[in-house]
Amino acid sequence: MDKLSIKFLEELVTNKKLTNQQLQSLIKQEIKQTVDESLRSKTK
Amino acid sequence: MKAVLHLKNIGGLLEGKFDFYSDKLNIIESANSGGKTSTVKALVGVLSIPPNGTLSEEIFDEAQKLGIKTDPRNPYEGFVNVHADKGSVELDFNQLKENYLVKQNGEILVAPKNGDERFLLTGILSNNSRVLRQLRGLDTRESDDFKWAVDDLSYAKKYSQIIELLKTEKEDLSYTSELINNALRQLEPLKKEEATILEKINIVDEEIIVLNDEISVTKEDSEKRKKLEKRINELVNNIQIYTVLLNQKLKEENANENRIKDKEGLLKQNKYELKEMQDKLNKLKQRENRKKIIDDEINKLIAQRNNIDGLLNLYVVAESSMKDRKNEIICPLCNEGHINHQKVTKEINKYRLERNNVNTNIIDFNQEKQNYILELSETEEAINEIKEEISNINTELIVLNNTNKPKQDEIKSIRTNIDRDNKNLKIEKDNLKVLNKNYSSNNEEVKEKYEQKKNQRDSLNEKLGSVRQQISSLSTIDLYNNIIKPEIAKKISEEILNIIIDRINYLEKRANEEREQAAKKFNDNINELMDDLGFTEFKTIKLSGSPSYRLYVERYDPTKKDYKSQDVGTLSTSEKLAIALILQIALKETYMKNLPFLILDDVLEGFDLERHKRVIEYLEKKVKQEDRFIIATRLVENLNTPRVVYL
Repeated sequence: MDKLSIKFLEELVTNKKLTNQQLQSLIKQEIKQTVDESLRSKTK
Repeated sequence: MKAVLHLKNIGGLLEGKFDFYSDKLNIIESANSGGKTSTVKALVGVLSIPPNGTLSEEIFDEAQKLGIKTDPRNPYEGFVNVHADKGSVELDFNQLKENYLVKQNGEILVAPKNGDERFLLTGILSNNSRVLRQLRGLDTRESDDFKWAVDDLSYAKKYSQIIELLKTEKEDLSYTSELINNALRQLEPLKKEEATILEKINIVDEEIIVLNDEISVTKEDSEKRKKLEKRINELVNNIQIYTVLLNQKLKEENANENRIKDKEGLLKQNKYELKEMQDKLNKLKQRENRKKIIDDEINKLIAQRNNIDGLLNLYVVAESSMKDRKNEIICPLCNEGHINHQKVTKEINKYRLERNNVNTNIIDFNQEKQNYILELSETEEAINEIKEEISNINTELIVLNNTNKPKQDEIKSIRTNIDRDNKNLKIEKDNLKVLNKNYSSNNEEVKEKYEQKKNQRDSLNEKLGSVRQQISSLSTIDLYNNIIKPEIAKKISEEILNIIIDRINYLEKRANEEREQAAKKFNDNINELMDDLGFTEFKTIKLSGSPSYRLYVERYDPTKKDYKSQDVGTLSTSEKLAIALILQIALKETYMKNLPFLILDDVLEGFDLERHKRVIEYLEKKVKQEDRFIIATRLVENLNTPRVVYL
């Protein structure tokens, strides 16, 4: 998985429909997924 | 191109219908409070209110100043006529129909489909526009501080917004990292302390065994006491271990519940998005008959083109045969009378032009149809994606709820064990008390020593319990609802922090690039406008570079007979207006070139005669060269209903 990828962030920039709250929630979610993924790889 | 604006109950107007043309200068005329500003407000509103009906916080203030949003401090200056419940605006142009319906309290019932809030900062120059307010020193920003022109309107603003959100996450994660490091720092001495206490307990236990023999009346009595003491120590130890385990399980249960809450939030959000998409799909499907109309129109246009091709072909053949017939032939259409070469060429050009027009219409209709089909398939695809996401979240929720149940059972069982052991501990302690009543009365000194050691043992137990509690709470860290060891949490948090820092650096670089590009484009547009407008009194008007983006003006100084830089705030009123016009058009060209509207409300009359003439000449030239609606207002005394005149 490309963690908190540039592509993901660029998509957030160009998405005109997202409110600040939605942006925040998407970023939090992405970081959480990155943490979960990292944890999985370390406890395999 | 023609644009038609239709208003009901907007500002001072009960109803109004206005035609604007893209090849003429459109002047809305009326007396003061006659409705020209209401017309402008309506036009600005329909072009700037975003499809979700919500303006961003920074822009909302501009909307209030321009009067398209009700200012709570001055509701009678609101957008909707004070006597009406709601107002409506319709704008038809270039096959687009935009609607905007708003209640008197400002609530938007129907928002325009393509509104872009940046129009409020780019598309209108009025005495309340930010550009003019700022140059006149009526804004909170300094007169020459134009950073917003490269920041707020370009993607730089969005980059900065995401940078801020990432910085908040970075701060939270740094705080967690600090907690992890503290935990790791504290754990080592605590573990040493636990070992020391256990050592001391062993020594005290040994001493108690020896004292037991001394104070016991019989050997049997001593054995009984030893057994009871051993049992009490076991129970104390068990209770401590169970308590540590209980705290850990409670932490895990809490994290699991948070995960469930997060997923439920996500599920709610997805369901909301699904509903929005389904509504959009239904609306699109309602337009399905438009596809049939388009197909019919295309077929008609193809038939028309075939007909034109037939006629064109006749004239082309006729033209090629003319060389041999001395420039005059029998008319290829009626086969009677003669027709000369000039007439044939004229007819060929006429049919070619008609053919091109028909082709353009066919392409436009095909484009509309393709856009419709694309929008339909994208919406259907989005619905499927959301449905899949909902199904995944539901599965995850089932798994999470399933893990929650055994965890709750485990917690219940640990609590039962603690209660049981506490009960047993009390019983065994009572038994020991009873037994201790039968002390040998011979040696008071030994008895006292025995009691002292027992108290010491109790206090060591208490200390051990407290140290174990501390070790337990520091041994697990909650990292984004994952309960993990601090050593692993340290590695992961450092890794994620590095990623976030890297992304912040990347976004900052991109934001700067966006600002620089915007400033360059803006300055290029200013230069072009200065040439076109011929404001020779200014040599330079430009934005300085990063990071301040100040407005720099070089103006002719008649005393020194040369150009010199001048503070924007010290320019004359008419010069400020001239610069404001240049900046406003440059902003429009930089950011919203494709939206063919520019509005000049109550500003043209502010120019001195010479500049006014040049501005009007420039605007007239611009509408002739480019397909765009330039709409200005003009005061006409005693004209109580607004009208549009064309220059």
